[in-house]
Parts: sequence; C-alpha cells; structure tokens
Amino acid sequence: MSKRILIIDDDLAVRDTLIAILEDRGYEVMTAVNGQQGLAVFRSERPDLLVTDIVMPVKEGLQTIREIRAERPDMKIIAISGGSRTERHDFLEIARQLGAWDVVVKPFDAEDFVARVDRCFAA
Amino acid sequence: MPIPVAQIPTPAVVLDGKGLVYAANDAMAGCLGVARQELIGTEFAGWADDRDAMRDFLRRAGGRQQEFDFRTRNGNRRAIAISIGSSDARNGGLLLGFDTTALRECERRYCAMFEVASDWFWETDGALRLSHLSPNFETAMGMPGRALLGKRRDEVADTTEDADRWRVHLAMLAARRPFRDFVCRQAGSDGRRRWLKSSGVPMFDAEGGFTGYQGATTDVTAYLEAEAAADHKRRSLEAELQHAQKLEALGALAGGIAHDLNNTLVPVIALAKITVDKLPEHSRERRNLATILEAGARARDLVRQILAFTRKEAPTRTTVELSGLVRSSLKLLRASIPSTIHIDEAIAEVPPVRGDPGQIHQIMINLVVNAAQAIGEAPGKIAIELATAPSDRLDQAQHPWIGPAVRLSVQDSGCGMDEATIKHIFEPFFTTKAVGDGTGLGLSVVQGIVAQHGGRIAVESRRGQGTRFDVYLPALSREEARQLDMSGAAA
Repeated sequence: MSKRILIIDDDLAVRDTLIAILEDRGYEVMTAVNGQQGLAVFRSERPDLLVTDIVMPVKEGLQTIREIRAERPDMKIIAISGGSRTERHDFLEIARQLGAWDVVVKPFDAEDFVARVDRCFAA
Repeated sequence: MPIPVAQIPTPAVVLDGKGLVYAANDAMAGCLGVARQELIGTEFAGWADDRDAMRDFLRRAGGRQQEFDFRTRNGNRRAIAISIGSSDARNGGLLLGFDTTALRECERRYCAMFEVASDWFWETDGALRLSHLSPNFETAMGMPGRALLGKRRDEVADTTEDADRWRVHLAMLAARRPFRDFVCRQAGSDGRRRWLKSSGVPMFDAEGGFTGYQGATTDVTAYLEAEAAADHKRRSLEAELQHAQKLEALGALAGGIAHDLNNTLVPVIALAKITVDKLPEHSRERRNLATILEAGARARDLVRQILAFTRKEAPTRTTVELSGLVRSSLKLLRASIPSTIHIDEAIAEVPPVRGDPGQIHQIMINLVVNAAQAIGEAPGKIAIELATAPSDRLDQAQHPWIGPAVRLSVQDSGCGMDEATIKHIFEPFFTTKAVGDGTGLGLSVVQGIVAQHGGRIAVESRRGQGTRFDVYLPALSREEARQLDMSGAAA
C-alpha cells in the first residue's frame, strides 16, 4: 500500500504541483486549504506524512504543526514556505524547532523535493 | 584787575612771573586731589610728572595746548590738557586745564580692543578711496595696508562674481547710507580668495559735508567654509536617510511580493522539471520547457536577491580567513568567466576579519561577475588583489574604525564608467546592463554587506579605462580572533 501524504497549502497552483510530482512518484495525496481543514483531514485520514505551508489564512502552519505534534508526536512533517510577508522571522527555522522533519523553500526543484520525501519515509 | 579764577568753571590757575601758583580754583585743586590753599605758592610745573616739559611749555608760552600727566595726592594719575589763557605767561598769567583722563582711558580701552580683535578698521576719503587701514589688515591678509591706500574698496575686491550685490552696495555708498555685514571676496597675498564681511558708517564734517566712510572688516572665510562643510555633511546625511527610507520601502514591498511570487513560481519550476524529463530529447517542446525552466530559475534568483538585499536580520559573524575564501571563490568563478579574460591573482596572507563568509563570497561573485561583464567578449584582464591596507591611507580616507584593515581589490580592463554613472552605481535597481542581464542590485548588495561589516567600498573608474573597486574591511588582531573563536565555541 502506498504511503499517504497530506498537503496543506492555500495556493491552488502549489497544491496541484505537489499532487503532480508526488502522485508521479506513486504516493497517495490528499489536500487541505488551511490549517483548520488540514487538522480535520489529518484526524479522519491518518496520513503518513504532512507537507504544510506556513503563511495561510484561517489557521497558519506553525500552529497547525504544534497541534498535530501534540496529537501525534512521531508525525513526520515537511514545512514549505515562500517566505513571510514581513521577512522579520525565519518561519521555516521556527517550524524546524517545533519538530518539522525537514523544511523546503519555495520555489523548489521537483526532483529535490521528491528526494526529501523519499528520505523521510526511509528514515 | 585780579583774574576772577574762582568763577571759571574749568580747572584754572594763575601763575606769577616765577611760575608759582598765585591763585587756583576748586576745579583745579579737585583735579589734583588737594585743597585750593595747598596749591598757592607752589611751583605749578612741580605737580606735573614731567616738570621740565611743563617749564619748557610755560617758557615758550607760544604753544596753544599741551597735555600733561599729573600725579594726585592719593597717587592716581590724571591727564590734563593745559592751555595758556593769557598772552604773557612768562610774567605770570592764567592757565586753563581740561581734564582728559576719561578720554585717555577711553582711548586706551579702544586700542586694546582693536589689538585683540581680528577685525581691521578702515577709513575712506570723500571719493571713497581708502585713507587708513589698521595693522590687523596686514595680519589677516598678509599684505601691507599701504598697498591698498588710495584705492576704492570695489577696486581691490573681486567684484566679478558678485556684480549684482556690488551694484546695490555702491548705490548705498553713493546715497551715503550706513551698511552692515556686506560680504565680498578679496584675494590675500597668497592669491587665495577670502570672504570678507564689512560694516561702515558715513562721516560728515561740522557743515554736514560728506568726508568719507569709516568701518570695520573681518575675515569670515573659515566660518563660511565650516558652514559649507556642515551643509555638505547635512546634505549627505539627508541623502543617506533618503537611501535608508528607499531601502525600507523596498524591503516592505519585497517582503510583500516575495511570498506570492515564490508560490507562483512553484508550478513553473517544479512542473516544468518533471515534464521536461518526459519529453523526447532534442524535441522543440523539450527546448521550450527548458527555456521556461531557465526563466523560472532567473525569477527565483531575483526574488532571493531582493530578499537578501532588504533583509534586516544580522548576518552570521565568525572569524574569516580571507585569503582562503578569496582563492576558493575564484576557483568557482573561473568556470563562469570567459577564457578570453585573464585573471591575475595577488593574494597575500592578511589578518582575519570578523564577518559572514557567505556574504563575503557574495562580494567576490558580484564584483568579479561585474568585471567580466564590463570586459565583455573582447580579451581582457581582471586583477584580484588581497592585501593589508596601509594605515596612513586609512586615516586619510577617514575610515570609521581605528586600526588595521584589509583591502580586497577587483580591477578590470573593461569599458569603465563616466562620473555620472559612478554616482548611481550603488543605488538599488540602477543598472547599465541590458534587460535580463542584470538586476541592478549587485553593487547595492555589495555595499550593504561591506557596511554591515563596518567596512567601506571605494570605486575608481574612467570611461574606456576600466574600473577598480577597493573593499576595505576592518581586520582583527590574532588575539581578537582567538577570543572571538573561543566565545563562538562556548555559545
């Protein structure tokens, strides 16, 4: 059975891109448009890996990571970000401190991203 | 008939034929600080400091008036101008005195003031020709005042550049009006032009006839130069502030668009990449997608560069050995520099600096890539030099730190720049390159990094003769470097 990955990102183009490159690799992908919806999908679908954006409306990514880690401390998470709107904080660094397995800066190279996901499951 | 000396309001004495006081009034006695009776029968010349001069004056009796110093009973000095009031002083007669002590004191005080003042005083005749210049003129201007006597002020000053102001000034003089703080230029003995500030008042004789001007002038060159320097400093601070505000606005804008732009670039870069690998090699579609990928990568780099440029966070700080860093940067850069360009290296072992190795690497990349682009496809040379900066040069260049420095120089044989271009090269988004070849951020980034490191960047360039950038960074002493490493290790 293929590994299941939950993608949380408010940007449709990013979600579609991640679906394309991860399904291409044989992963099963589900999506949510913000942290709140993402938590609901996480609870109902029990994915193996979470790929979450940071800057999102309704519930942002850092809080989402906190809540998911509280529910499942061993949950593998990859945080992705195109930078903050103010550039005063390095959100990805904070995500790493909150327990994200890996962090990726947008825009990213498809092969590199898939390699990181593969490594995540191999670990 | 006895002279009614008591009724004379000014100091007065009557002498007999031997010069002895026959009668005196209270005013004269008061001047000398004695009672009137004490004067009677004494030799009047004996009260003067210079008794012989007084005797001589009385004997000649022809002199109209002469001033003598007298010593009063309580030891004070009084100056009294004595005139002979009768025609026969030899056989006794009336002497009238005029107490000039206050006048003398006044004169002494003014002389002292004239001596300490840096101003000089002058007078003109009725035709506005200088008739007197006080000695301070020579001290200030380095030439004797007599060289100017007989000339008008507008003949000795430099009126060419201030013609309008002189016209107004001369009209005031023609109207015999006083003037204040008129500033003009005049050359000193060394030929250097000084700024002089003059004030003057017209003089009239008893009949109201104009006799000339008298006034004072001071050299305000140093003051005006200091003011100009302060003004220059203020302007440059304003320019700096404006630059900082520009950067802040750019930072806010960049932060705002970077996030959305990065998201937008995700499908461009990632989908193009997975699709390109699936297309047949050498196909037009594959080439097209490769072009899209390249454009996406360029857009990504541009966003990163803008973010790096406007980022507020402090860079990392470690001890950096520049010689090794510069050599390894060059190794990487050589691959991207056309083989027609010869690279000359003169890399000395220099003291370490405190800084961010990544950022210093960025300095190298930006300067060397710029140098290569300035040379273009023609054969050329880039000289890279790393050396300790001589300390005397540091002082002259007014570096903001005291102590040793290192200099990283990148010199190219390229097209060079004119002065107008040099003025703008550190401004963000200023570029001389074609659209797509440059972001206009490279040198702004370099300048920002250098400033963050407490350093300074200098540029020398002439159109057609190449360009040289000198980056000066403050060096650490070995002891400072050791302490920094230890504190870094402890953290």
